[in-house]
Amino acid sequence: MNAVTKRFGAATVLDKVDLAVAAGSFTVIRGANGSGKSTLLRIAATLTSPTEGQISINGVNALRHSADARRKIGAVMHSPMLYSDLTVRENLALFATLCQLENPQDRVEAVASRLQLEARLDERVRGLSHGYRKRVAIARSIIHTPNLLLLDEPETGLDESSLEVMLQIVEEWRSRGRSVLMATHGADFATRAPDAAYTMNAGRLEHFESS
Amino acid sequence: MPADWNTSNPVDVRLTASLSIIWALTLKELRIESRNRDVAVAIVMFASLVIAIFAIAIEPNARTALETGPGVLWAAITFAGVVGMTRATSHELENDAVGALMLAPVSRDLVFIGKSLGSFVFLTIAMLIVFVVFAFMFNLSIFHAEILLVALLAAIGFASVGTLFSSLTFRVRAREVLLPMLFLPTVAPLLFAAIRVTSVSVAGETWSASLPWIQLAVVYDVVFVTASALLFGYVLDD
Repeated sequence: MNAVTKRFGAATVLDKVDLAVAAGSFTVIRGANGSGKSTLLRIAATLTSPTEGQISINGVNALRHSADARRKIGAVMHSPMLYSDLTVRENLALFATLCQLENPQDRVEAVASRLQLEARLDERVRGLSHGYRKRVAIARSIIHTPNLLLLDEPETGLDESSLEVMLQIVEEWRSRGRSVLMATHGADFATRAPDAAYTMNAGRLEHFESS
Repeated sequence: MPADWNTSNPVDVRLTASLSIIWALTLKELRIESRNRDVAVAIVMFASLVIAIFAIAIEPNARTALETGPGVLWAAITFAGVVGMTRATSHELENDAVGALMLAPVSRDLVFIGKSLGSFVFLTIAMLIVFVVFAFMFNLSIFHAEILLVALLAAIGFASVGTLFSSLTFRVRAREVLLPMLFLPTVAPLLFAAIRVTSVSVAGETWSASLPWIQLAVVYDVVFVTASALLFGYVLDD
């Protein structure tokens, strides 16, 4: 991200933010509610356009070639982004098909197993608890093995075991040379040895620590 | 067999991929609707109610049915279509489900086509049921080829313009008010064409009397389907 600014009317939510996420790194952004973390992640996920600035994902200009950039991005945002009246399997298979993956049903089975969702595959999302919805959202975000995983406060609503599964995925992503960018307002993840940590304060990104 | 017989043409591969994406999106719309039946039911119930109220108020005879029937039919279908679109939008907003489509690495054009096709199917089925209700209430035979053709053209136009405007109002608080304010004036030419074709057809006039209005509906669809597809990507990305 290069000099990314986002304004909503007169309010500047992001102010000339520069951020580089290295391959194979786990980067954490901490900050209070309303500090601009979610907006930053939404822009990185190409869900929102910046008012100014440039974004590139693995050398792909995300503003000009957003569909190509999205192929390299997996994202878990605040809301699960799932169709309530479809089953878990249908939601995952839909996304796998949209990603043009080969054997989408096999991919669905694989990620469901990874997130311990096998028993829930044929249940409608409407009947799932918040924690399981989050697991399905995580499964969707990794089904196409993206290079960059964006996690917006993923710990919200997750129980201990779900949190552990998610941390394993973060580790796995890092060990395979892929990257994770996580926004959180808790201290938990900042203590999980990120490769880089930043603090977001009133739309400005400040370097917090680096290991 | 030619040496390159099994070599996939890149254009064919892209076309096959695009069609599978469109089919997946259409299937998603149909699955959700088949489990809720609230969009088609909303359209059929609302339109039938409007037709029934007018039928009771007018007490149509052979003359008044011809004079007022086509207008009542298409006004009922158009307003019911808005109600159906509002319901369909609510499925996309629950859990911010539309975000999954926005995160998918596909062209917004394909998302537009898939969603429009789903709406087109509901509208067409609902229209056919409403036609039966109207024919019964107004005692008019409306299952003529030219009326069915203009109904098909109207469904295409309503579905594509409706998909665009529904997406435009995703993040607007007063979308129930804004959607009809945008949709109704935009589909007015299509509505006039459908009313005129229905009027001349039930009056027993020949195809040639309907032809200019059918041509208008075709031109409308070409212009507005293209414009809606082009604008959809900008609308979806806020």
